[in-house]
Amino acid sequence: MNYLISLYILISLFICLVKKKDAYMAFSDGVSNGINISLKMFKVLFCFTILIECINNCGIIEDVSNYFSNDFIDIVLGMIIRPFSSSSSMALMLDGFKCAGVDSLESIVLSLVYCCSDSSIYVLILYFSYLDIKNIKSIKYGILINVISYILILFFVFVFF
Amino acid sequence: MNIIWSSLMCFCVVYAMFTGRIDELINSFFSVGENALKTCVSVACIIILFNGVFNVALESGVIKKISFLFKKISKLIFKDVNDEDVLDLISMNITASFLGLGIATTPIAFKVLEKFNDNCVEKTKLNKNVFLLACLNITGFTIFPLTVLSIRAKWGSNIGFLVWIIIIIVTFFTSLISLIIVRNMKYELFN
Repeated sequence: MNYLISLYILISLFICLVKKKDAYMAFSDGVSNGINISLKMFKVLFCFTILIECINNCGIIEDVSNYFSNDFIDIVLGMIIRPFSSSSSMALMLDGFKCAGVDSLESIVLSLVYCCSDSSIYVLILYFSYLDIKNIKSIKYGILINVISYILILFFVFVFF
Repeated sequence: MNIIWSSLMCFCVVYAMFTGRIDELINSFFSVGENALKTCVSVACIIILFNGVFNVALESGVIKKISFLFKKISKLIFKDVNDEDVLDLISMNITASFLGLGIATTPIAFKVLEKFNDNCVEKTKLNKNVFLLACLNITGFTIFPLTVLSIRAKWGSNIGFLVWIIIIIVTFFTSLISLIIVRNMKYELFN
């Protein structure tokens, strides 16, 4: 991946030099544009990070996973958390690796859940707040996408293992 | 948004009160701000850097060559977009997520959103293209899921190849199904 990115940068800079285009100005324009974009989304990101930190710190995730500590509950918990937060889901996946072994069924399902779906609520809210769309009802369709991927994951794991 | 955010925050505080973790929570409140700021700054830095790199690539014309690969697909998905630049950007977005460069997709997606917003008449209403773009980025059809595969390899997994195949199949079908659903939704219901 690092090779791909550096190759991409190298080729575009090289072509700019050959074609005698102003790469330096293009880069600085992009940077100032990027600052505007990130200022626009900063407040939403801040609100969300605070909410996620609160959920992590109030201890509900620990309690639930301690109370029911079997594979099935771990998988369900991972699936519920995935639409909200990428990092919590990653933490659950690593926890599964530690407890049940990396090639156990639970770890396979958790890593597929982590990889094949995304934090849909977070992405949708980021996009909508960027465009000032106030319609939050459509977030349920984001969760629908997650549910589709869960069904497919369970189906294929059932077929292959 | 108001209801979700505030009720979840209230729930966290009440839960912490009942389980006796209120001291922990309040103490963590002071570090929460710092952590949130750190996350925001790190995301913003990535966006700024990639936006710069992206602009250079746009200037040199590399984007046009790469996006040629996925232009037909993006034309098929976004039927009512006729602007060539927007289609180029969208196919670049698909290429980036296809190659597993997850970080690089966000700045491109924001650029596309800006273009959509310029062309759109009713700006604060949900429009189909925005939702399709979000859908593309959430499902993220990928060929090289490098993060998960490298973590699994680090933990000594023996079935990396099988997991890789399943990831490709699942992301492909999820993208296909959800794109079909999102395209056939009735958007008048929302607004």
